[in-house]
Amino acid sequence: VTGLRRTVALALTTCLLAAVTVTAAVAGSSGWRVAPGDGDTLALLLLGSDEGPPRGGQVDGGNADGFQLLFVSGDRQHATFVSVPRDSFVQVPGLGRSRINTCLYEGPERCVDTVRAVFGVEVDGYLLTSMRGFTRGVSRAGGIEVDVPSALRVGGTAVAPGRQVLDGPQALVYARDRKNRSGGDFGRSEAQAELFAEAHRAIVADGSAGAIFRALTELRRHTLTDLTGPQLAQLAFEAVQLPPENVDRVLLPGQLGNAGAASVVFLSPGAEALVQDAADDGRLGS
Amino acid sequence: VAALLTAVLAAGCAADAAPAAGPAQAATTSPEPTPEPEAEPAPAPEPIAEVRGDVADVVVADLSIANSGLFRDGDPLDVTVPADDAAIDTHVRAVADWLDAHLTDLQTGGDGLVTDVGLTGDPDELSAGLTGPSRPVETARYAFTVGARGSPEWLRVSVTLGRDGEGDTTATFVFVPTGDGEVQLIAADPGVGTTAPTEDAP
Repeated sequence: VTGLRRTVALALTTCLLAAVTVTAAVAGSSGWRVAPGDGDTLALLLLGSDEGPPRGGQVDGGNADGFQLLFVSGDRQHATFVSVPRDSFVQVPGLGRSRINTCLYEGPERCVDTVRAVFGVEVDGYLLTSMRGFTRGVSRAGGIEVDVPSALRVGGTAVAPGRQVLDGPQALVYARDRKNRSGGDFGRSEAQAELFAEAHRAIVADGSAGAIFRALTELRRHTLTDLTGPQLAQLAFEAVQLPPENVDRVLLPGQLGNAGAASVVFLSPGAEALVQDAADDGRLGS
Repeated sequence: VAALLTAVLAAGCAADAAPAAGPAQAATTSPEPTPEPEAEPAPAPEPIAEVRGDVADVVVADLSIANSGLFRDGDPLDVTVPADDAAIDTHVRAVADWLDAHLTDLQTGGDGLVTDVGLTGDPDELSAGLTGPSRPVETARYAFTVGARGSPEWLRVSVTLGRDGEGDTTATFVFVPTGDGEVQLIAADPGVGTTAPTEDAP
């Protein structure tokens, strides 16, 4: 953890936002020369809380309904998003068998502990946002272009199908709606990782200092994290080496079921091995 | 720099030695001294063209979470952290000093002190287009944007170099603090300057 944390920073993520980064390809076209990374695989935990405004609780005390792991290879040339279904029924340290999203009741550090306990993987840093934090961050970053597969709606905000730039409220619908998309909660989890990947792709395609710093700034402003600001900045520019076509996404496999009266997801036996595979070198199946 | 100093010292020693030979020659007698052809005076050594850039702008981009939506607007946790002007000044000065040394070294035939920085690409090409012994800069301007949550978290500087008869040459450098007022270069786009940043659009 400490080794990675030291270099860290990327951020691709966050809220969406962020992925601040640029690629070797981009570095080639834009002329950026960047720090190459320290050679260690980077592991980040990206959390989206269902609390914080407009709801009454605190952002770091609700359910982690967005639960994504991002692994980046030591040479920063490959990365994999692992989308974890929020209802995954696992052993949460201190809480017992529970949905994985409940780890945030005890703060994001408990979610880091949960990843270690459930998947045997060390996390180098977490980034946590709220629904409103996400919404404002995306809007201030200029939106995220994505191909919307079907009409979506949450509350009074609707999103039409087709490729388009989503503003903050629309991006939140894209990240939240599970009733109007195939796959339900699984599809929603995949959609969250897709937003991150699309944000990264757009920043790489732009490649300008303005694009990178805009994303970095909003990432910093709209997340709680245990990474320092300089670490995030360094990560952002390390990410410049990451070609978007080398970013994979995978959903942890599982089956819907019930634990008492609660609807949960029982992760498949291979889920742990899949996470460890991605954590090994930022790639699947290598 | 060391090589240049050596050359300068060597030239200085030679210049000192020449007059010292005068009295010794005068002490010798020769009925018909043959006038020696007048030696061309040694050219004065080129002064080291030390670059001293002008810190033209320092724009601070607030990275506080105030009004971020993470907490209710106005919540005690929804706070703006006042900028630490002294820390920002210290780090801006550290970056300006690094850039001065970088450009001065390039101008005197060095590598720009970037070999050990470890950025991707060929260190020899990192800043080769900015300046060199054959085309020294006449003016250097540094425009900063400092991302700060109280203390600086990153420093982005747009460098503009001017010379007579040429258009401006620009580049962008990015640094992060490493503690005790020191900074580390983490990225550079030596061929691209950036438009003057603003607080809203850092």
